[in-house]
Amino acid sequence: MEEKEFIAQLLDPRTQNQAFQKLMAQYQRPLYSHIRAMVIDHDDADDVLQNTFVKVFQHLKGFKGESKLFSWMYRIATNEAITLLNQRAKRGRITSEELYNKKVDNLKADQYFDGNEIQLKLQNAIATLPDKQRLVFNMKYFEEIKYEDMSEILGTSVGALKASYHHAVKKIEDYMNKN
Amino acid sequence: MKPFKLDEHQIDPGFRIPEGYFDAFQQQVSTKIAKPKVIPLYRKPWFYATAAAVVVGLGITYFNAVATPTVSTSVAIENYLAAQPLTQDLLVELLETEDLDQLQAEHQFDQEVLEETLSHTNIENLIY
Repeated sequence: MEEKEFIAQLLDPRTQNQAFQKLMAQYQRPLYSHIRAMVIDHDDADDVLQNTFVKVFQHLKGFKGESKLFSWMYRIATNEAITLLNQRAKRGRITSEELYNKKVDNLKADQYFDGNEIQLKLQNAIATLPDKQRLVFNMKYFEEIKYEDMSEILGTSVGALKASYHHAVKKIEDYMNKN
Repeated sequence: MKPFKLDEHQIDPGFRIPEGYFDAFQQQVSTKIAKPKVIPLYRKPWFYATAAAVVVGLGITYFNAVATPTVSTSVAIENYLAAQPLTQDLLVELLETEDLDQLQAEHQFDQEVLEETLSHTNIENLIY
């Protein structure tokens, strides 16, 4: 089915519910992974994922099809995750960077993290990256999103994204070799 | 030891998802969407217009009650003035310099009439 046809089903009150269930079934797992990599713990990822789908549903009417449905949803999910992190940081009177480091420090005790030593070390290495580089690294390395799609989601040129990923990889490798 | 290279490994992030999470997820979202969104009163567009109208209405009512003298107030003022002797000191106090100058200009006394009047007036009667 073409995307235009699917969007029409999402907008038609007679087919909307069924189409939206289909949309959730298709995107809940990849969006969860995307959000979880950003917010680290499951509870926050759950909050953000729910808010993402609620917002998608509420704003479907305004979706003009200028970008792909996939990138539009990823953009909403990314914004929701950033908003949650900023709110949490503000509430704790710390920076979002400090909050992220705190979350990674708590990973060892997290019941929904079962990574080994290398996986934990990689998370610590990712935590040393600036926000944008971290986001690009997660999307490329773990989620394997194409640069072209990433460019549409983040509104950044492909060249800049490649440079960000390159710097991130270098920093992570340095960290992994030194620690 | 061989240096670590990311492209030689595909490392999983290590996050685990609670069992059955996605089975219940769609239902949770559907419930959230079906629930009518509660908009706080202060976010409704007509709220500020109504509040402003109420404040203006009450303000006008209060102003009218305070600023417009009622019949009983007017009568009270009249009674007060009637009971108070209008002394010269009070007049001077109430009149501005400009008012006094104007009065003087309006009532120019003829010097001769004044002298005539004074000559027929027993000054002693005026001293007390």
